[in-house]
Amino acid sequence: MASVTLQGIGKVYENGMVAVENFDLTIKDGELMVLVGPSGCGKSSVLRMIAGLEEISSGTLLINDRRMNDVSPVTRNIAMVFQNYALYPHMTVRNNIELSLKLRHIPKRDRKLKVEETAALLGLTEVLERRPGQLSGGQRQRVAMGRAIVRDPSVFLLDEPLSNLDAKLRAQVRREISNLQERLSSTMIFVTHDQVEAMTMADRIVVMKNGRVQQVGTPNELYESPVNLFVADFIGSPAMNFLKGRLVTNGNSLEFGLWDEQNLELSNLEIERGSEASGSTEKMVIIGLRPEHLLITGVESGIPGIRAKVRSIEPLGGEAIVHVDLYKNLDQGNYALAPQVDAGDANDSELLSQLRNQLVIKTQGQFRFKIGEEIVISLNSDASAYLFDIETQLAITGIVRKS
Amino acid sequence: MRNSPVSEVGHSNQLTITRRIEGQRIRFAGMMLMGVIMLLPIYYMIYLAFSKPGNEYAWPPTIVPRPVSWRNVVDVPNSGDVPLWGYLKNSFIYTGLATLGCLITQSLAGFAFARLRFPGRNLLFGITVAMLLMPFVVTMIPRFLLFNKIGMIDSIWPLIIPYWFGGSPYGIFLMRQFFLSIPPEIDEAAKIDGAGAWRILWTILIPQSVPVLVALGTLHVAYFWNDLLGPLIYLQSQKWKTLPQGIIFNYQANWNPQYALFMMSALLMLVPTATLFLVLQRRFKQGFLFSGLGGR
Repeated sequence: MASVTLQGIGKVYENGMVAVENFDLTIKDGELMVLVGPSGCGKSSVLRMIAGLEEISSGTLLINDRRMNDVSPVTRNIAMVFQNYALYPHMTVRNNIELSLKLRHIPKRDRKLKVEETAALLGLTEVLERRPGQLSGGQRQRVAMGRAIVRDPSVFLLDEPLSNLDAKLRAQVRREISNLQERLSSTMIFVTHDQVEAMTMADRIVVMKNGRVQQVGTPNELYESPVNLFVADFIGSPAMNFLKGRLVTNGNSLEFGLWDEQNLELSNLEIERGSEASGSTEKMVIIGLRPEHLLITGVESGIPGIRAKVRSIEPLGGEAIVHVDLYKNLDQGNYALAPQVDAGDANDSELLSQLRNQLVIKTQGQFRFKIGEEIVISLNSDASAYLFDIETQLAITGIVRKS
Repeated sequence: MRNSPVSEVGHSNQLTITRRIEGQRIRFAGMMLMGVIMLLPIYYMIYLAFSKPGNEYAWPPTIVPRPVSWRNVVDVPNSGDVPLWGYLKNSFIYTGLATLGCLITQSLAGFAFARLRFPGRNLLFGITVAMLLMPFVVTMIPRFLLFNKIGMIDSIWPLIIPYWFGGSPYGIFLMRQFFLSIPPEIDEAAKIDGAGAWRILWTILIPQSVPVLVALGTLHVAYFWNDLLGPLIYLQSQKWKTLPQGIIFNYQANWNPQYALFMMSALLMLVPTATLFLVLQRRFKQGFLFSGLGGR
């Protein structure tokens, strides 16, 4: 078992494309670290550099405090599971699992024992003499795992190992891998573009974008306090809502105003003394609202909040995903759509251009409102508001939940 | 019938189907005609092969030679002035060694072009492909001069050595294309398992390439087995001559060619390659399908 340290790792491909820049990360012994990000963010490149399949352009890679930059893949003592499993199609499951032992000149009897032990662990004993072509997707995935496990590697590298499985199987294999990792107490680095996988499996998560680390933290840390808009948007399902509006602070209380009379009371938040946000100010910010933190009530209830109209409902049985439109001056019968957020003044960010006057809300239980009905949206009691600077897209620090 | 639009649609559909069937008939007829044209010389060869010597042009002609002279099969090996058995042995050596050389070196070159990174790779591959356009006769004389200089004329080596240096660019191209169709992750998995390039080629890639190697091998065998020009250029003494040469000299150089025996020897010469093809037919087709060439 081993720790892995990446210091200022960079990767520039021959065609000049910069895939990874200044990547710093320490993975502790026995940790399950997930690299997550949209496709093309460089996460696979990082993994392939750790594996030794890709040259490291700059920086240092340490495994167990030994420099590994120029060491061949096999001496790094890592094992890798590929997205397409990369099983040897002409070999039986037994030979697939056995090959690495054979290449290390392990005596035949030990090899046999080890292969059978691994097969038993993964429930592959019955299919040992079959070829990959005769196996189901889930079995192939397990053979790929077996091929990795059998060598007792110090680090497991998994490159989107679940993306070729159907949804049900994926959840099952996800649990299997988590259990396996606990049982072997091995260091695992797992690459995925699926934040659900990342959240459910990881000890810690690295969120990447454009070859750079955005944030490293436990699933909870990323969910509770994302450092920037990108992480906030990426983590959580359905994704966080973003609205642009006026943040008014006064002493240590604060209020968020969308436009005339449409205010969201942030009564369960306060400003830390002496922090960036303290003092009496008024400035334009982006607020992030988690779909599961929003509450829908009828207009007649008198609860203050943002007025909106139900646009569509996706019932999921125990809960429902509701899309609502925000309208300006609903009271006066003026149903003109509220002014579109002007994305032009916000760094041309892709994300900001998606800002709409629409919210997605996750409600528990049966949803009692109808499409087209007027409603009021407020924050529920466990809500934390996520406030971001429009210019830098970084989270505004110093705002905490009232204790 | 004109009052219902449904029946109209049905009618026009029927018309299209009828037209399509007709088109197919014409196409089949055309293909059959082509087939007959292709088979005619072979039929004639078989016809002559079983004619009684001296009776090849009997009048009126018959569909089947009359009488059918089965004796020709036995008579052929001893009928001429040259030792055909010895020639047969030479043909086997030439075909076997040249084919083996081709398959081994073409696999190696294909692997290098498909998987290894080295400076000038693309240029070299470009040159290799360009060689496809180079007719044999262009290199024929220089090659002869080269082997003459090193004193290998009148031995079987000039016929074999070139094929241990890649042989045909077509084979290299085919192998490269096939290796490219195997996902590179399989190589990478093997690399992580501890395999070097050599091991990856022989234990991971080659076993998956059997259909392609069979296809390529069959083509090579047919070429070398039937090759007349190569042996004609390099071989002078009896010792090394091959079967095609033997057959030509046995019958054609005669003032009185015995066409029945001539054709019987040609027919017998066809047996090994035809058998090989029939046995490997399925793999042969697979090979071309896998490599992404032909098989449309």
